[in-house]
Amino acid sequence: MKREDTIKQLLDKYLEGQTDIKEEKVLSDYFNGDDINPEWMVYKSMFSYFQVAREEQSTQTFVPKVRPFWKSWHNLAAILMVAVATTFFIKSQTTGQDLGTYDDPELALQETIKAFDLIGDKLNSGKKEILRLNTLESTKTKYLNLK
Amino acid sequence: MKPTKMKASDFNKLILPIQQKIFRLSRRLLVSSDSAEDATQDVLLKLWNKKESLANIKNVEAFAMTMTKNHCLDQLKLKSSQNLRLVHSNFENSAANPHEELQAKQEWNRVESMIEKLPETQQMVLHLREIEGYDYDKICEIMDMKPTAVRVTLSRARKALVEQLAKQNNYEKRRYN
Repeated sequence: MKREDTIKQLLDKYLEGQTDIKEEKVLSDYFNGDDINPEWMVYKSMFSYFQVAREEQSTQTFVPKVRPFWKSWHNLAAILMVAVATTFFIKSQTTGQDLGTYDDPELALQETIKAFDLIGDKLNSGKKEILRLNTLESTKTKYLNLK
Repeated sequence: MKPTKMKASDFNKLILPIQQKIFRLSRRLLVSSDSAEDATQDVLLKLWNKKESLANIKNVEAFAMTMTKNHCLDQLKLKSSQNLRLVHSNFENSAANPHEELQAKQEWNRVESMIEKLPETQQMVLHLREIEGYDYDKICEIMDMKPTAVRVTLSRARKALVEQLAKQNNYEKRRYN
């Protein structure tokens, strides 16, 4: 009975948060043993839970990998930006060529209309494809209306 | 203070011994093993990015655990705003007898789900004490709490757990008798 008295005392201290690590080890050993006072089954559940939870491990290993500096994405982004900026800079330095202007306003108008026509053509060829959707729509309504 | 250069090997020596502790605390708070593994990876990456200043930190383990705590609480906030339910993890036990194994497993899950219902602070203090066996100084540092507050929190968590388990035991007794 002596041991159970000690355990009883320790449990009271334990519940008040007054036990130290060593005393908690005594409790843990007792409640993970076989010979436990049936009144204390609640504590057995708790301490065996803690015991198992201490062993819980992830099977994954978490090792930080040291990546070479050019593989880190922000380094890569920085390098790319510098490269692009340099290319533009060099281009702007070398290709300052004159594209020309029209002196005659009539000619300028003609050329502008030509340019707009070209754009319009391209847009309309795209629109033709969209018109096919009307066929789909009418077919759909035809069959749905049959119901 | 001049930052000390830290190599990958130094970092591993410092952090590898505590990675399972990081994982377990994450698992306590995030419940599912998958989320906990992601969280552990994130925390380790954060630590790695801070490796220059780690050399100047007195208690790296407490620092890492604090970081884990904060990271997981952030994750939880994120999860609750997205209204996601976490899935319960599985548990392995090496008992020989399948019946006993099942019983032990059920009992374990019962305690686990009760701890889950405690307030987060109680869960964390309880975990740091019972599972990681930290002394009060370390828990104070990780939780940023006063020693008396830690004792009170721990005491409340233990009492709540005992009370809930007793309540359930009584209920089951009444049901079967």
